[in-house]
Amino acid sequence: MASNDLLKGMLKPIILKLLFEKGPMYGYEITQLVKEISAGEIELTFGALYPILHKLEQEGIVQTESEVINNRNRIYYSITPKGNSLAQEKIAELEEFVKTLKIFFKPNFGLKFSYA
Amino acid sequence: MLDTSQIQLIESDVESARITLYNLSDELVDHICCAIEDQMRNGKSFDEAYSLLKEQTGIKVLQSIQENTLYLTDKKYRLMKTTMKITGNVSLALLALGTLFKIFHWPGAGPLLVVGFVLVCFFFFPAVIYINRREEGSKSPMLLNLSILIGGILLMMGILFKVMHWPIANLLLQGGWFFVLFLFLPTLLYAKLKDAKSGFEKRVYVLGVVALIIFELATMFKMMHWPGAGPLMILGSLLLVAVFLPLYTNMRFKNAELKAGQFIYLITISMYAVVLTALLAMNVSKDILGCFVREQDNGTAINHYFEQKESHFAAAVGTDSVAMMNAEKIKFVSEEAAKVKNEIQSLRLNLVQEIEQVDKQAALAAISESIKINKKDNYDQIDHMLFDQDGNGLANSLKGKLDVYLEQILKVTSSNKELSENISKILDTSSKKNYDSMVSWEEANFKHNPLISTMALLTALERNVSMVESSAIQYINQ
Repeated sequence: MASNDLLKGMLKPIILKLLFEKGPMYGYEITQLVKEISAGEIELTFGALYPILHKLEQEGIVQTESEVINNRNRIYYSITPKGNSLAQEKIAELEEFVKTLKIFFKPNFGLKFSYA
Repeated sequence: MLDTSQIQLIESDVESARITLYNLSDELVDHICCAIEDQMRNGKSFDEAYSLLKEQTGIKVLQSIQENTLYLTDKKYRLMKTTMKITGNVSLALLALGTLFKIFHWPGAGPLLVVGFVLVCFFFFPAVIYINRREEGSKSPMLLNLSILIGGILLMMGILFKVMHWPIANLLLQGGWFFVLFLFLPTLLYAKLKDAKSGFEKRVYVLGVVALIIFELATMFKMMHWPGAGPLMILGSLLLVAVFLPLYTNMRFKNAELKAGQFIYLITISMYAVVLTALLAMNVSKDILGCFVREQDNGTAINHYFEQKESHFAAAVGTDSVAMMNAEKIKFVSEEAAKVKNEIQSLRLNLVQEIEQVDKQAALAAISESIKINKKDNYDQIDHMLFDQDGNGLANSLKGKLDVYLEQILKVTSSNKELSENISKILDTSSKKNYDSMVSWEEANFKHNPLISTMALLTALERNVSMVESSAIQYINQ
């Protein structure tokens, strides 16, 4: 399982990507989806999730909508029109970063070293 | 799917974690419900699934989610939290160092204590209350936060002023006590009673607040030197430590809100609070005050002896032929001595009358039998009465009178060098070195001196004046 240290900073773009592609989602749904997609490798606890969601809402990137389901309020999150471009940017940034990271795992970093 | 009563149970549990942030409590309830529903689909019962979940995510976890959310979204909250952490640690260190310096009489204790107290009062304390209010939301009444903020600042400032021997310390303390006793504690009780779930819980809270009120009253009585502080303090601390605390912790344990670590913390803090307040309320130990009582009564006896001796001299003036010749000189010395002695006696009488709040008759009785004095360790009023704003005042004018007396006596004894030197030493009022700074005679003798030792000192001064008078007369008669 991925450690918390590695996950730091990745969670925001991951959440944005999910909302971007799947549309409105609620908190529990997001944690389960992350677990499913990563085959249990990434565990997004609700302790980590909700502070990020509230921060995104405060920044105006996502918006909330409340709906009564099964006798309780459920809060749905979706990306705002304003947040759309920003979300794409974040996602692209993460993709770029992952590509760069991959280079480090090629033998000899993809460079032709000579150990003379 | 969960039924309404199950959802209500979860809702009340989330509520007891004091989640007040917009949307967050709804989200957490929904999240917990979904997780339980998942477990129930795998064949677990509601109770099983919920207790399993509670093990992993107790109230503390829920609260930390709210804290983290506030920390991320609220700039002011973030600032306050940082302020609280930094000033809390720094002021604790400063106060500890200041106390250590004070105990060992090292220079610099004053500034350390002042900076420490100012940090606590005007940064740490407001930050803590702001954070508390932000986390508890509108649930904690405004009056509760405001009264403890103002009352706490006044009390802490009062303690600082008291430790530094600055004026208006008592006024600050009384103001602080007023806020804590009559506004904070009743509001706290009201809020707690509203939250209480059972009659037993209500009774425990009432008991706790009553114990606190008694304990605070006892501290106030002790520091203001009002009678009855002792019994109040015993009653208050017994109620607090031996009755309320066990009931309260037991109750919290049953409700599974308290962990063992917190319990130890709670006990330690309460013990420190009780012991420290008791120590703080004690100005000077009884043994030391007892020494001055004996010193004062000895001094009175000696002065009585001198008085009798003087009347013999006065009687001798009329008959003895040698004395007749020196009558003028002796009369002069006696009159000069009487001036100073009158000054000292009226000053001592004044102090006792003012501080003990008694009439002249009772004050005179207390002076001749000083164990009767109630406020033996009072020094605030003495400072106030003997020194004005510029450090002058009655103490200073007494010094002036002593200097004049010495000058007049030396005129008479000038031909005997040894006697003159001795007299000058006895009536010396020059500044002296005290630790690392020069201290004037009046400050060294009267500043921050408790009533009983000030009395003993004045009596000793009177004795010195009489001794000089007697030696001078003896010299004249030779």
